Amino acid sequence: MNESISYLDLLPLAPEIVATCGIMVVLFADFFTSTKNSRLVCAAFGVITNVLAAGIITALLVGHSVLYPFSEILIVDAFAFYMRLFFYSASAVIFLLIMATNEFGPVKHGEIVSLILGATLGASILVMANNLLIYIFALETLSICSYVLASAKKFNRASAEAGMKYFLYGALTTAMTVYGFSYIYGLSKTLNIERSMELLANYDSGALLVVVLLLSTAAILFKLAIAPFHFWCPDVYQGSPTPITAFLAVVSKAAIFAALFRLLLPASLFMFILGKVYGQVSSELFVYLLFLLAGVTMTLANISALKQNDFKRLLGYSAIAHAGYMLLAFSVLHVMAIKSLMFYFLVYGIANIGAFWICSLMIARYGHAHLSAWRGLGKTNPTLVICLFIFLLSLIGLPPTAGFSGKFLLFSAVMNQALAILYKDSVLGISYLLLILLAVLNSVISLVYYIKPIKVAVLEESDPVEKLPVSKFSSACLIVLAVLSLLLIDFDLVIANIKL
Amino acid sequence: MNFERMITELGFTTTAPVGLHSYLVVAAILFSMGLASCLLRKNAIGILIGIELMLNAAVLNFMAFWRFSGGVGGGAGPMAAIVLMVMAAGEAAIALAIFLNLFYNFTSVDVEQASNLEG
Amino acid sequence: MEKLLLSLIVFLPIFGVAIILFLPAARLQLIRATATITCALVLALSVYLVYIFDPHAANTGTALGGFNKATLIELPWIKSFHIYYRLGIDGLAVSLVFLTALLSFLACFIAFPIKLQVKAFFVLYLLLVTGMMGVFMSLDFFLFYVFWEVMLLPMYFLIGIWGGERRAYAAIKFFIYTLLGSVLILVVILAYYFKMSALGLNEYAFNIPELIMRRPFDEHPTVGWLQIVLFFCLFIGFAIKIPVFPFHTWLPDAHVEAPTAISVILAGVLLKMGGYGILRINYPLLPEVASLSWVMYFMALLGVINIIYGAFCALGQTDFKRLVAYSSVSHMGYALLGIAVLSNEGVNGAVFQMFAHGISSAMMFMIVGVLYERAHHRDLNRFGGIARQMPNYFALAVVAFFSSLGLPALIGFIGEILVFLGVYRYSAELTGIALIGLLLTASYILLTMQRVYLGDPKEAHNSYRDCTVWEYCALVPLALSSIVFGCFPGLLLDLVKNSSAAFVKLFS
Repeated sequence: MNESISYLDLLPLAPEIVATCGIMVVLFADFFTSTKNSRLVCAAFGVITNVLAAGIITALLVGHSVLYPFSEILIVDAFAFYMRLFFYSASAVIFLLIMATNEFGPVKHGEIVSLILGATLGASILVMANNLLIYIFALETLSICSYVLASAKKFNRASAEAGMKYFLYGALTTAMTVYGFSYIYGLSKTLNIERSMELLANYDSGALLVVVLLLSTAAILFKLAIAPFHFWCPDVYQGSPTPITAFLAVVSKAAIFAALFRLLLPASLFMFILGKVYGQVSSELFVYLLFLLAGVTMTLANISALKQNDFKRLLGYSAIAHAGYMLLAFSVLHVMAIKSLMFYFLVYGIANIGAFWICSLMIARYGHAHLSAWRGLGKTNPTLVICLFIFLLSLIGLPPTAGFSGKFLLFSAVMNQALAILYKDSVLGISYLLLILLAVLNSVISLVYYIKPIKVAVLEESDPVEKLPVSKFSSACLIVLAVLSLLLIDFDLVIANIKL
Repeated sequence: MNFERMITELGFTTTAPVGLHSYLVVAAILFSMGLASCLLRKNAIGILIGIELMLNAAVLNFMAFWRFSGGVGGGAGPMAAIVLMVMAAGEAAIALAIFLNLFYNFTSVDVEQASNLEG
Repeated sequence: MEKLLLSLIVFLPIFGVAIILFLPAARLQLIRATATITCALVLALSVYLVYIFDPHAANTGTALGGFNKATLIELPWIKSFHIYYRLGIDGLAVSLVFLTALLSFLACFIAFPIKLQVKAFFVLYLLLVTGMMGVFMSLDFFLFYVFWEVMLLPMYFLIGIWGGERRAYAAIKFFIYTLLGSVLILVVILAYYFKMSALGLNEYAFNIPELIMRRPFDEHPTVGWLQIVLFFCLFIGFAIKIPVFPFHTWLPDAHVEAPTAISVILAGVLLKMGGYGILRINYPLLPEVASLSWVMYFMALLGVINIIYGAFCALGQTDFKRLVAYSSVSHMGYALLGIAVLSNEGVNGAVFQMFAHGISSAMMFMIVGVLYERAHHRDLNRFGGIARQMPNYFALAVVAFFSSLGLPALIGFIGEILVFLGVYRYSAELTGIALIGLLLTASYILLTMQRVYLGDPKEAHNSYRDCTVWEYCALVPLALSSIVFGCFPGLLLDLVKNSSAAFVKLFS
């Protein structure tokens, strides 16, 4: 603690400093603009902040090593850089969405934009956290901003309820996580995550560790909407304002996965302790647990989604299902799996933001996202429906969209592991294979509900509807996102450039 | 009345006057009470009380572990306490804001009444 | 020029799409003309391909040696996984490419009566042609899969928007069924990728000819359970397309509800993709499983079941189009039977039968479509005596139906006879059962002809006019092909026999 804070400590945090300044600038600017212009001005500042931050990250990305600024409470490695780049870019696109549509009503947008910036800031720090307290802090920043944002739509019952539900479940699990962390601190006597996890890996009493770690990951499992903690997801997605839903689905989810990495990577912790608890049973018990969670999540979500008729709720269940697929890749702690997961976040993010953008346009016109309002859209807005089709194809995972590459990479990472283990431990290997089979079957089931909006928009006849007003800006952004979705089927564009 | 002798006769002796495990047990009791409050109550403010209880149980844990490991970690205990208490306060403020919004929309803070979004 | 030929055949329809997108939606004739001309160009290119294709020039030294060297193209695409843009043809592929080009061109004519959203129709149609051509020519597993799936998307809309009454149901059923098969193929692709990585042969992980030559899963002389699982995963994936009983239930719905031009493409080309997949990928990748005696018998049995079941179902139909759909199921059974017996006659017969069925069933669907245009119903019992009122049409219908029946001198005969020759050497009882299928085929064909065309002319049909110019354009070339290939089968067999021989050699 004798070290002073040097320039080198602050440099990797420059994007966060920019984000903080951005928050202040937005609040200030909001003060000076009228209510009418507030949305565009604040969102524009938000975009500028995020683009600046992303630019700084790209500049810093070249040639660096792992840094531990501020006497090791943060860890800044390549993974952190790439994830922060993703968060800021995704956030920027969400600000573009706010500029294009108006879901919050005639209110001043300063708070909303600064809250989104705050949440992104929380996400960035979370992915760099190396200290238990910083971890909790960042998690809370992300969460609290999200709770408020979920209920940000004034005089709207759905939004209030969504915010309340999200808060109650979230705060509960965060409190459990904090309690678990207190035990981690107690057992390892250090607040440093890397060191404490390594110490715990060599700890004797397995039973205590199981409880502690389950408690600690409660918040993460909840936020990822892993079954059986997924009940909040469709409600919150449906009730929140659409840009916030997009934010939750894309940035929040990726941030929490990154947080899970940070906790588990320093040691193959679960495998070891579970082995200790159950004696002679192999340490693959952790993997089986992950399989169970992932398999149940995928299947439950896909089957529940089949009955949905509200677009946002549909995408809520789809978020749960995708969390299941991502968790599957998580059971393979190998660098290729991490890269494929990062690619998957990107692809999933693009498709989700695109789909939510179109949903936002529909809500602007009809006031609700029920699928019955989408009839006849194929005839009046063909470009919109083509973009929607590409996004939904990406979510299903069909060629020629990037979603296929994402799923392909994910499954190949798991298949890698499966066949490697198959000849050593055939039960585990076969479970891996069965789970891949389950995942692809789930993709097929998901086809039925993802194709529903398209079916309603294109195949069903309706009384002539007037054309949905879509601004040129929205069209342009949607086309860019759709083209990206098609181009990224060549996953080399991303994977080859990620050097972990 | 010699309480100390009474306690010793009842069998609750410890080598130290109050050991680490006492604090942990108290914290655990607080945590369970908080958890129960969260899960069993319908009033949103009651749930918030439960969350606060859980967080404070964690603070107690941090302080106890710090104290009984000779103060390693450079003030980790008090640091955790302050951070967590600030966080809890912030969370409570946000919570109340959200509940106020809820009340405005539903005229009650009963969480079971706010269930429009089912299905 | 030759290097570009295959890519041109695959991507020329995309140029057509680009042009059509810029045409105003009201200029129907122009849109139809653009699409037809694009397909005509593709047909011309594929005829040129057949012309320059030399069946004897196979260089058997390398894995890619079996494929025509002049047209082979191999460009790196996704370098980190060694996925290449690799297109190449051998005898099998070239015959199917020619069939696809011919049918896509002719189906354009049959699609002229469509009036609803013509622009969207032809855009999707040309995208479909691209997908189909890509499947037949790609020699990279990843690329093959991409094209395979790309084919599904336009098909869903083509059936779902321009189809009959239950089109939404038929479209989604088709989509889900085929997707289910496709994901099984994906699992196998992944398994091969990993196995090749484990063996250190990353560069060939997606290279189909190399995979065939190297056989990473082969543990001679035992056949492990993993290989059997992979074989059947692939088989189910392709069997859904053929279609093989019991995975055929999507076919009657899809064929019946689709518009005529799409039924023609479905029956004529898409069904062949299942057969092509089995011949190019399923069998060559895992020959040790395919030559197991119980697998051979099982496949042959499936083929025979297809033949008999399809024929019986066709016999009981009152819907004309459904009858033709079931006859497709039945005819593809011959192809599966021919492949299963793994002999020269069998495989040649199977390949010829696929081509023949493409021609004859395409023609039959066009015949049905022509009648439906006039009558607006497909109820067999309400027809009768059409022969007098539409004599030229009747002549073409005769050629179509007798090709399907397998009358000598028409195309349907050669495939069947070759398959029977192959099967007889393998198992006499299966041949016997299959011959019963011939009887059943004859009976439903002749019954249908009698019900629809012969007999006394009915009042209701007096207004039916004979074929229009465009319908002649569509039907006459098919009739001519049927007669020409029926009388001179060598024209096709010369193209394919070397690749069939190479195929059979894999199993010795």
